[in-house]
Amino acid sequence: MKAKKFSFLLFFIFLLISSFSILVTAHSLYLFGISLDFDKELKSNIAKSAQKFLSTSEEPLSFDLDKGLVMAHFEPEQRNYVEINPLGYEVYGMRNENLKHKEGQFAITKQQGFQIAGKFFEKLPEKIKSELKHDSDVSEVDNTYFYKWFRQVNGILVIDEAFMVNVDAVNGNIIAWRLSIFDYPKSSIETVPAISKNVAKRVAEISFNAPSVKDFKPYLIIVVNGPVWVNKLQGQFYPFFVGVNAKEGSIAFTGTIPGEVPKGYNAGDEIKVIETDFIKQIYSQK
Amino acid sequence: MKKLFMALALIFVFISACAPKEDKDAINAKKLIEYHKKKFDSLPLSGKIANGVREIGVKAFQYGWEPESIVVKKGEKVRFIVETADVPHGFELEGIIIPGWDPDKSVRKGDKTILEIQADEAGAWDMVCTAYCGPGHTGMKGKYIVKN
Repeated sequence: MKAKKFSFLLFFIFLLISSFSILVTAHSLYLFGISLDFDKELKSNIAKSAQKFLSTSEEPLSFDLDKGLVMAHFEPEQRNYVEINPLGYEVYGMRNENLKHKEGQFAITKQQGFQIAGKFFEKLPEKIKSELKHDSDVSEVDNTYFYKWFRQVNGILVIDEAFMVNVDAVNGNIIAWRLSIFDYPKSSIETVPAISKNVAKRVAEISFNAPSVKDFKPYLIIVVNGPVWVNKLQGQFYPFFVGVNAKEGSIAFTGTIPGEVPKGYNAGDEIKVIETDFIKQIYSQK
Repeated sequence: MKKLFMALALIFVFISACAPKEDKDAINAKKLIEYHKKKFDSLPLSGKIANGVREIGVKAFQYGWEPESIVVKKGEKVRFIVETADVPHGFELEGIIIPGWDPDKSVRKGDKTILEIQADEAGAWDMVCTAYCGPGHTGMKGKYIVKN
């Protein structure tokens, strides 16, 4: 009984620590109730784009910031909003809970839902579509399906850049969709690692004096515009991820991966490592 | 005797074929760690010492920081005097709690916000804006470096 209480306590501490670290690092990514009063033109253009999309003359109730997109809310509690890219004022996403079923049974299969989402995906510009890869793993939440496409450059996942379509499984409506801002064009993204997976693994292990999690296979992702090796270490109480910058060998992140990784993603083995002069110089030091 | 010698030689060859690769990765990893530990050593310290406290003026603007990197020495007490050159900006050193400061607050033009921390741990942290300040807000990053 005591052991059970102790494990509950440990679990609680773990939750507390992990939620705290997420809060600390997420500050600049999601901001609630932002003010746009410092720039009247920006505020007016964002409101106009959102109003046009919804065919309404109502003023937005409030604004949030979600990874660079400004969310213009037209109903409280995230029930109805439009996401606008503040560079160019294009609509990059929306959610409207009013389009969701009020009652009824599942009428749409995952495959039918995918056809609805797929048709919507096809409307994206060719340049964006060509970099998005469909993820076959479809999550099901509250009688709706989530279809996702993740951005990949040269077969490497660009973390936190994706396209999502949320289809209602009862009435077939698209109740939400969202396209991330692509921070860097493909030509400005570096995908070739300068340090090997095994060196990166050792950097993580030695830096945190912890062993790698058994059976975890490190993989390569793109964070912002450069390659990062992801490894998983066994901490004293719980495992945690460590990202090692694959160009320089520095620690890129610890704790949680800064975005969703599709199930089964494991790029890295087939990627050729090209040591730069910078890395060669460090390795040649006595 | 000959067989034993052959077996020992084979074991030696096997070990020497396997061992160095593992060692080489660890050696290179240690060199990288050492390099990144020392890379800030040559950077000049920011601001000036006033009554035993390192005082640094920090100016936020759309979409950057002046200075872009803040360098202090481990063990120092650091005082930031934060101002903004244009629109309201927030101030946060990601992963560091600044006593008495709510990162959701913003600094307005004409204000001088004074914040103090103890630089107890060596390393580098991102200095970010926490009040939406325009389309370039997400990329508004500087560095806070504590060197040994």
